[in-house]
Amino acid sequence: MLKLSITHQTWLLSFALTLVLVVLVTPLVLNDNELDQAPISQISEKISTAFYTGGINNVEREYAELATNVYVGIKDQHGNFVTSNLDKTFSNYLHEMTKAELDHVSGKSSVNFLHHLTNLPDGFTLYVAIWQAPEKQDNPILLAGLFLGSVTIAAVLSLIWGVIIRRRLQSINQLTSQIIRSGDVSLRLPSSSSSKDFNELECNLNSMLNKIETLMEDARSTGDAIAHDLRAPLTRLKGKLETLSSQSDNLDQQLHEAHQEIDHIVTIFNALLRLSILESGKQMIKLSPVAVSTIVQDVVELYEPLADDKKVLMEFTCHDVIVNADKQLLFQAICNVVDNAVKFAPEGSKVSVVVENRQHVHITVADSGAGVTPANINKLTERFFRGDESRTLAGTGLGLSLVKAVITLHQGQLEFADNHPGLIVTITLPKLQ
Amino acid sequence: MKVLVVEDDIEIATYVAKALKEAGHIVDQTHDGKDALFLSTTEKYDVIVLDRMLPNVDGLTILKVLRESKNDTPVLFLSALAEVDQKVVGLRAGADDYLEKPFSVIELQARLEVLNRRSKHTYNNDTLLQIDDLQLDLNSRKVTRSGHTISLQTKEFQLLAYLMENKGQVVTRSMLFEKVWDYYFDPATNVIDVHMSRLRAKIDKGHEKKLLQTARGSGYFIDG
Repeated sequence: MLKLSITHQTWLLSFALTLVLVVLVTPLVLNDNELDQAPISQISEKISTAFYTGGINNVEREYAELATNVYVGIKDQHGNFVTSNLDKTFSNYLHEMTKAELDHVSGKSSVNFLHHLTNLPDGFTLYVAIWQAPEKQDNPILLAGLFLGSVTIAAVLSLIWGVIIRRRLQSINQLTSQIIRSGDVSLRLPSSSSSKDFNELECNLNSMLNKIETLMEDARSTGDAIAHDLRAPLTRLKGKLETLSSQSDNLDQQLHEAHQEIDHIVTIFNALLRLSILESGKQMIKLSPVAVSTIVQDVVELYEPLADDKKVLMEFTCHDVIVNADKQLLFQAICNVVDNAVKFAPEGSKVSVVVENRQHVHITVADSGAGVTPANINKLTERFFRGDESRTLAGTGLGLSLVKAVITLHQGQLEFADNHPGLIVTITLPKLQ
Repeated sequence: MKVLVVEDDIEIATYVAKALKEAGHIVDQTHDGKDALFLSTTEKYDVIVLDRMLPNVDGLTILKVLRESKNDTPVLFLSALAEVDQKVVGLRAGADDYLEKPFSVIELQARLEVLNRRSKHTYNNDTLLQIDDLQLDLNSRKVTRSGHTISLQTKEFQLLAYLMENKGQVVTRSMLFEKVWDYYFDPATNVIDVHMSRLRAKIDKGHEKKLLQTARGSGYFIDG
């Protein structure tokens, strides 16, 4: 069924109602309309007087003073107009009316035409007609009745409508207050409403609830992950400090390792803080035109010795292209992607870094490591997500979340694909116009 | 050198001052912006450690006042504000270096010493740097050890030049990264170490005397 908005439904109903009222009431109003007789007899008298005193010429002088809705004509004994201010149509109309008819309507109104006949001497007849515009035919009592009727029907209709709207709002209110009371954000409104407005409201509320649920889930899992990821280095640190206080040999090494643990914790905190600043949009990034190739080349040069040590070959293909970017952030993001690729690339394999200048700018980093299972590919940018392969490797589990945040700030996209084996990471950035 | 430490956290200020004193420096410390403004404009310091957030007068204002009054004492900015561009804001306002909290005292000390050295123009004005039998010519970009030419890649050359300019001075990984790569963040993995071990292999391998030294937990230095 076609879903109409409440407003449209109301409009349609009001329109229908008005139409009905007009059709029913208008003929009543118009048929019973008594027109004022006074002006027409006054005009007749005036014209008659003019005829008596000065004949036809005198009558024609009076025409100029007549209102535009007043039509005057004089016929001779043969029924021909000797003078008239009427145009052809009305002349014919009056001409064709029989005397009986005119007599019948004389002094009485037809729908909205008032006729008056006056017999003048020498067989002349004076015809006076007043055209009354329909809107002037006010009848206060009937109009009031019409008005009251409409108001009453509108009021009854509003009441019914109010009850329907109230019932629907109640179901929405019930659910929202239930969610507030119980904190169960998994509840959803049924989208059964036949009204487009309500359907939209329910959809919006439901997608808000979806968003809230994801955010709460994120916050919860981030909290869990922080607890987990920080507990490990803190436990190791505690252990090392305990060993330190019980044994004094190997002090240097133990201290050094304790420092490293603290550095690791600090790195996680910094990454988390930076991530939340980037994601909240509080960081006003300063975009300026930069050559992608320069930044990517810097990254490749930075990681080449590391790859080399692992007997991993780094291939770099690049097209020169300018984008609007924050150089520092973009460098950091690409570093994180390349860092991962080198980290997971097995010995003797290759990591390829390609910059392509197509409709957009594509930066592709592909490794042939263990890759990511399809189920996990969407979790890559989640905070603290670490694939089974990476659990034993150094890292914060925040690298790709940071990449995602940076690329989003640059109106770009971050995509992952399977390299059979390995992972392909593609960063797409808009080109500088 | 004479150092002014301006830091509102008394505990941090105290341990920084203690470490610097132990390293043989003279240290004044204050926890208030107004005192800092007074001290920095009336006393002569070699370097100033300036916290961003301070009671009464904030660090950025103090820095601007100093620079407007043509006081070019090197200033190292400290900040807990993690925004990526805070560093740029600080450096633009006239700071000479920037360190994010939490920082290691070794890192701070290394940076202060390099700042002091740079401002005293204690660098050899020669374009030929020499440590023991290692020679580096900044103009011709030629490096030799015991007369044998060593071929270095661009970044390796820049790393060596920076270390040699700061002979005997510990230079941390992040200092090397900032100086040579000109980006401001800590690469999480040991990328800098790999570059350094390549450089070490090129200049020390086969020589009895090792010039390039690792200061464990902090960075590198080169000395004869």
